[in-house]
Parts: sequence; structure tokens; C-alpha cells
Amino acid sequence: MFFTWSASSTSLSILENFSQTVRNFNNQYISLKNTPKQTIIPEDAKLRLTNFQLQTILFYGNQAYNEIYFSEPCSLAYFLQNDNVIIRNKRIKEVEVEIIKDKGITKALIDAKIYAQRFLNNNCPDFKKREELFSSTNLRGTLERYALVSPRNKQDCYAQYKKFKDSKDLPYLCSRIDKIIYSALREDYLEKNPSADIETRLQISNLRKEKEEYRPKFSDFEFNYFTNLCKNLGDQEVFCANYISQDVWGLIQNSQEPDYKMKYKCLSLLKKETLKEMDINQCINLFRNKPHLCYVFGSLNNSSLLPMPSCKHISKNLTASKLVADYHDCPSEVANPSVINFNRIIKHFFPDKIKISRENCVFPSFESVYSAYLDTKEEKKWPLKLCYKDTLDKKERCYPYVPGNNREVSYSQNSIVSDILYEARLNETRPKCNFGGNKYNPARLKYKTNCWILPLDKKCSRYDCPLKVILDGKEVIKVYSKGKLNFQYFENQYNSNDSPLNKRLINQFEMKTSSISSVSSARFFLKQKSKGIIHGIGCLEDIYPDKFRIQGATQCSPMPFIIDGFKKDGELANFTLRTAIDDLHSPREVSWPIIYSAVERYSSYHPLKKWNLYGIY
Amino acid sequence: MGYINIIISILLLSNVMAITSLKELTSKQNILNLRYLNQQTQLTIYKKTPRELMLSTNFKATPILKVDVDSDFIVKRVNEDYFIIRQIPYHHDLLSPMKVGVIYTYNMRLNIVKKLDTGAIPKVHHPKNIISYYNSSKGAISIYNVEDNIRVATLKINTNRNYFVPMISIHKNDIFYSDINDKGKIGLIHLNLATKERKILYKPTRRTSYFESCLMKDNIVFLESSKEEPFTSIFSLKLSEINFEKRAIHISSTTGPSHHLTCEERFNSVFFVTQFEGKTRINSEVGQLNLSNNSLVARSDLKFVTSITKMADKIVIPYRKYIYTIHNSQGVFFVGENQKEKK
Repeated sequence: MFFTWSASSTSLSILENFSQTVRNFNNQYISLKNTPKQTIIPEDAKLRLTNFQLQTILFYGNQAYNEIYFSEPCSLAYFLQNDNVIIRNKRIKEVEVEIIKDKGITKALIDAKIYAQRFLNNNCPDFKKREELFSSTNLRGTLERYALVSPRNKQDCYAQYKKFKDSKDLPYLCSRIDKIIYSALREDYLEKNPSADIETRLQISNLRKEKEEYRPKFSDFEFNYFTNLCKNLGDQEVFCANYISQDVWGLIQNSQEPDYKMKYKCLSLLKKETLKEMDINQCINLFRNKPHLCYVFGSLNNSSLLPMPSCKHISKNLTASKLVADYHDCPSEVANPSVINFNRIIKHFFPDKIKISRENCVFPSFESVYSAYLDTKEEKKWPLKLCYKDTLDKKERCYPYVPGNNREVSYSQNSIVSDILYEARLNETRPKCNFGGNKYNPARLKYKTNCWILPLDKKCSRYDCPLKVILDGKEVIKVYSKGKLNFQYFENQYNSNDSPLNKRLINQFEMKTSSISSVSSARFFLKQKSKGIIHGIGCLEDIYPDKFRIQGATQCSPMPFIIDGFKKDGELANFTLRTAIDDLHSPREVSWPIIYSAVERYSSYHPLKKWNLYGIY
Repeated sequence: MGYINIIISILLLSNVMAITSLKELTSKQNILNLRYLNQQTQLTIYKKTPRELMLSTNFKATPILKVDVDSDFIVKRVNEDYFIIRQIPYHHDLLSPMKVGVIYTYNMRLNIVKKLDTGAIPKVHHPKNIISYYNSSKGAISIYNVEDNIRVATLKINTNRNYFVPMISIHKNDIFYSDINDKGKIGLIHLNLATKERKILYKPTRRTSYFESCLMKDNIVFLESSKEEPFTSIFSLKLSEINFEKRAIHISSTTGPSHHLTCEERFNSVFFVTQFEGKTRINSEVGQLNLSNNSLVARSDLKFVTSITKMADKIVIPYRKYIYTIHNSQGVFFVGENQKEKK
């Protein structure tokens, strides 16, 4: 210890002693710069850090690392070698040493790396040997051997903390983590200072190379875990606070939960296209301190049922939720809950199957279903057609289409509009058409040329709105949708010539299902099947009676939903649930008796009297 | 093994079946096919097939409406002669809750069905020849006089917030309805049809409040509640003096949500689904709020009631595959203490 005060000292004298010590250190620290520099060190000279240099590092350096320096004598030299020692926000390049040669001792400032290399070569053969485990080639294997898991509770967290704190591996890990973070900071600096000198550029380039070599060896969870550990060595409470009683936003920051659970809510809340770290921190701050924001904000294009739960409840529900959803959909624009639910299930099991962008949330949901028709060569059964009246012969002409925008496929709504313009001889070629959306402004130059598709009624946002087509600034044709997307979700009728969506999941996507009829079977299924989720249909008026009032004693509006998590709340078993009109990233908590009532009541009105609640995996 | 299966089945069944003092509503028809029932006159309207609606009296059954596609039907009695029917096409295949159905009027005396419009949520008002229905795609509530066969008014509703269902109550020239702003907040609006004066009656402080209303003699009763910010308030206004400041507050509580407000003049009470403290948890039951003394009594014992409505002149609870009544024809309740019925 460097600061000791007698037990008899008064508080005032303690403070006086302390401030005097600080003043002394400050003065001496400045005097360090007056120590003569030496670049050539005799090979046979012994090097030793001066007491003052040591005290400076321990006093001004990263307090968390002091733990490592004390537990492992070679670690300080190792940190100096890797530029990890920071004093007053600067990474030290030189150290004050005593050069001992021929019984003579001289003080000098020398390159920190020279000191470190000598020290490590002369005193730390085992330490250097062990370093091999953390080389670029071996690091992944070393990390895998830790089999790192998130602490389950306080005791578990303390045990993990102690294990690593006492581990000989810590200097290597903390040094590596620090270097990666430093590289990111320097890259950021370079971005803001593009005219930086060549030396700085070279240094940053080297750091970047090193970062690119080592960062991929860590998983996100491992990286955040060790960052948290290295930053909080000496304070296990702070380390564990990041894991115990955490909301989902904190867990996402630790990479204990996937970032899509927050990303899309945050994009919608801040109305941004991309997120920077600063935006994420802003969102976390808002979600934690203004939980009411989530009642209304955070869905895509305001297209889901309101109010959503508070941010606090969403956090709890997302923690229990396991639906894979690295995208955002828009239920009211798709206007077909069966399509929404089917697509959510497909995207859960096959996340890469269909790309979904925020700008184009309608097409991919429908494409999930349409591609199932294509797979079985049943596209002729697809019920939707886009039609127009030919101006010459006044005949109606219709073409099958999939609602939404996608230039890459011939069956998307915009591609079919393009075909119609060509077929109706309104353009010599097939122009590239796009949906104008809310941003459409005929006064702007961008919209004066090319082909734009707009709803006839500005307020209409569903896929089947009648449309007008603007070509090079002039309205040239009106198109309209025909046919109804009335798919069977579960089987409603025997001998139908069209497969229910549930059967397509089983037959085409080779999924397995099991009937869920009790709370224990629902819990067991969600626990046993790691990727398994439950889907069903129930009466909407029973699931959300405060939002949808029955119009008669025998009314039931069937609504598909997905259950993907379980929570015990006192005596009641609660599940995380999203109906197909709920925001994808705002699951709600619904108790088992309510789910059971909704499903049972629907089954009694079902044409085949079937029970419609199944685990799918 | 067979015995074990039977035992498990019995256990599951007993777990599922509610133990209740309420009585099941019964009729000659399958109760689940009924769309209207008057037990006194033995008049029923029922769904014969997914494409056919029938009228049944003591003596005969007559088809009312035949449609081309499988549908469901909602039927409400307007007055002695008229019914209003909503057909919901593709009920089991096209699952959107906001889909607009077809609204018909049915003149029982002349046995004439007339297609009126497209819409949802048909509601009967006062006087009883006035009906309303909501079309979410147009964002409009239509008010219609079925006897005079004229559209009385159309109210435009904000459609920027999807899945919002407005409430509406009409008493002669006074129209009370709810609308939502772009921030998702619901407000109460009063429109006087005679003077065309429209004013915001009440803007709630809570962000997640919703409203329901019903007419009770010379008063209009409102329920304001929220699930997200648990809260329930029931207040009434005199129809002769529509002044929000002079409202009578019957209950105001941090319990919520409450919903399905139903006025019943014979009991001088409103009935609604609300939360009651049980032995080990909060139960959702039907509450009866007597407006003369503001006493609240639980009238069901099912623990997880979601909905109530009126059928066959009774307050009924659709619950799982049953429909329960909370009182008999004499007005005696099956759960909770019975007070003297108001004559």
C-alpha cells in the first residue's frame, strides 16, 4: 500500500495528508519529464523501474489493473510492452528506470518496450511461454476451453469473478481487450481527423490489423464479458451488477441477448436509418427512464396494435422471448394476420430465407407464402391479381402479383405495374417503377421523371389499395387488386384444393408439430425444444378483451398468434405472446387461462371443431 | 396403461371445467349457432350453415339471408320490426379483425333483407330506429335511420392509428364518440346534430385510456380504463345538461383494466368486467355497480371472465365453450348477495 494513515489521525489530517501526497506526486510526476533520456542501454546492465515510476503507474494508472500487477509480477512489463499502461489519459511510451551496471546506478527515461522486453526475457520465461495460448492461432481454442456462460445469480457471478481474478490468464486477456478497444478509438480519431500525419496513420493502421486479427476470435458475449471484467477488477459488485437483475437492454449490451431485440425498436423510436453506439445508448436511456414511450413508439410505420406494453414490460417479455426476429414487419400494411404469422415462423426457423428491409416491409411477408406456392408449383392457385382496363378495347386485363416492392423478381407489385405499362403500350420499354410512399412530392425533381406508384386514396396503406401510376410526371393509368388472400391457416375444411399454411410448414419445411393442450405441455415444450415455439388461433376478444369488445355472445374473431416464452408470476403461468397484429418486437404477457379460453372458444366455433394450438420445431 | 390415460383425461377435464354457481344459457338450438335469442317469445335467429341465417319462432323456421361465401353473422335487434345484421365473409380464412363486413337491415314483419353498406361493429341507439356502424378502411362511423331509410350523419375518425375501434353512443341529437390523435391518445367528443356543434368533452391525462359508454335512462354512463396504466373510472352525465364538469363520478380506482360496460335499467346498474381480489390472486369477474349507491358486487365466480354481453334479456358471459347467465329471469343473481330489484 502506498497510502497509509494512522488510526489516530483525524479526518482532517487524513485529508491533509492525502492532498499533500497528491501534490507531491503531481510535482514529482512533472519532474519525471526532467529525467535524462537514454536510448542505448548496455546489454549487461540491469534495469529496474524507479519507485517513483511504480508509484506513478499505480497512482495514476488504471486502478482495475493494479489487481493484476499485484497478483502477477510479470504483468506490468507485459502491459508496458503492449502499450496498455495509461497515465493521465496517455499511453506511456517511456519509463523511468534505474540502470545498474558495474555497481553504479543511474536514473534515465527509456523506451518502455525496451524495459519490458528485458524484464520479460530475464524474469518471466513461464509467463512468455504461456502467452502462446493467446496468440492469434490459439486464442479461439483457449476461449472455448473456458466454456463461458452468463452468470445465473449473484453467487454464480462472484464465483466466476473469483475464478478469473485468480487466473494467470487475465493479463493476456485484458491486454488484448484493451488493445482492441484502443484500436477502435484510434480509428474513430482518424475518421474525424483525415489529415493526420503519416506516423499516426501508420500506427492506427497497425492497430487495425491487430484488431482485425484478434477481435473475430472473441464472440460478442466473450468480448463484452472480458471487457466488463477487466474494467471492473477490484469491484466484483460493479462487475456482477451488469449480469444480475438486468433488463433486456443491459443484457443486449453484454451480448447476452441478440441485438435485434432492441435495434428495430430503437430505429423506429429515433426515426433513423442506421444506429451508432451513441444512438443505442440514447435508446437504452429512454427505454429505462421513459417507459411510457413504448406505448406508442417503436413499431414500424405505426402498423401494429396500440397501446403496446411499457418499455419495462417489453423488456421483461423480451428476456423470456426466444423468437428469432432480425427484421421488422408491418401488420396493418400486410393486412393479413395469417401471412404475418406464417412469415414470423419461417423467419424464426430460417432467418436468412427472405430478406426484409425496413423500407419494404410488405413484400417479404407475402413472398414467404408465395414462395411456398412456387416450391410446390402451385402458383396458379395464388389468388391475387393486379388489373387494369385497357383504353383501346375496354377489356380488363389481370396479372398475378405479390404485394409490395421488389425490383429483383418479376412477380412483385412494382414489376407487374411495369409490365402493365408496357402491355398497355404506355411506354416503349418496361420502366422501373417504385412506390412513392409518404415522401412523394411531385414538386421535387426526383419525382418528375421515372415511374411512381401511389394509392388513389392517400390515407390507404394496405396492399390492396387502388393505385395510380405516374410516369414522367403524368398520371397514365389506374390499377387495382382482385382476389382475396383467404388462406386456411390451420385446416378448416376437408378436401380443399389448397393446403393450409400449417400443412405447408410441416410438409414443405419439414417441421414437426405437437398438440399443446395444457399449461404443463406448453411449458415442457418450450423448455425441451430449444428452438421450439407454439402457434395457434384463438378468439381475439378473449386475448385482448380491453381492446376488442365482443358484438354478440357467439362472436369470435379468429386471430393467429405465437407463444415463445414462459414466465411464472406467483400462482399464474404467464407466456410471452404476439398476435399477428402485434408489433414483432413488443411481445405481451398473457396468462395461460386466457390463452386456453381463447383457443377453446374458437375451437367450438371452428368448422371442423379442431383444437388449434401446436408446438412447432 | 388405459386406466392411466382415463385418469389423466379426467384430471385434465376437471382442470379445464370451471366450477361455478352460474347457470348455462340453454335453448332448443345449439347455443353456439344462436345469433339472437328471446326466451320469452321463443324467437331465435341462428346460423343454419356458414352461408345461411334462419329465423325461428315457436312454429316455423324461415330463411333470412343466404350468402355466396362461408361467413359468420352478428345480429342485433333494433326495434319491434327491425334487426341489423353484419355478415363477416371468409370468417375462418381471412382473419383480419378490421375487415369490413356487409351490413344488412332485416324487417321481420315484412321479411325483407336489405343490403345497407359495408362496415363493422353495428350498434343500436336511442331512439331505437337509429343504428351506427364503423368502416375502418374509410375511417368513418355511419349513423343510419333504419325506418326512414336515411343516413343521418357520417363521422370521420383518424385512421393514422391502426386497429383503433371508436366507441359511440347516441341519444337523439347528442352523439358521444371517441377518436384517437396521432400520438395514440384517445379523447371523448360530443357532437350535437341539431346545432352541428362539436367539442372535445374530455381529454384524459393517461396515455393509454380507452372509453366505453352506454345509455341509462336520462344519463349517459362512461367507463374510462387502462390495462397498461391500471385504472378504472365510471362517471355519468345528465343528458339534459351535458357538462363534463358536472359529471357524477361513481367509482375511480387504480384497478384495471375494466371493460364491456353494459347498462341495465331494471337493476339501475352498470355491469362490466373488472378485477377483484381473490384469495391468492386477482380474478377477472363481472362487477355490478349500482348507480344509486355506487356499491360494487362481483356477479361471477369464473376467475377469468373476458367478456359480457346481453342475450335473451340477460347479462351473459361467453366463457370457453359455454355461455353463462349471471341472473335468472326474475332478476335473481347466482353469485353475490341479492338486492331488491328496482321496479
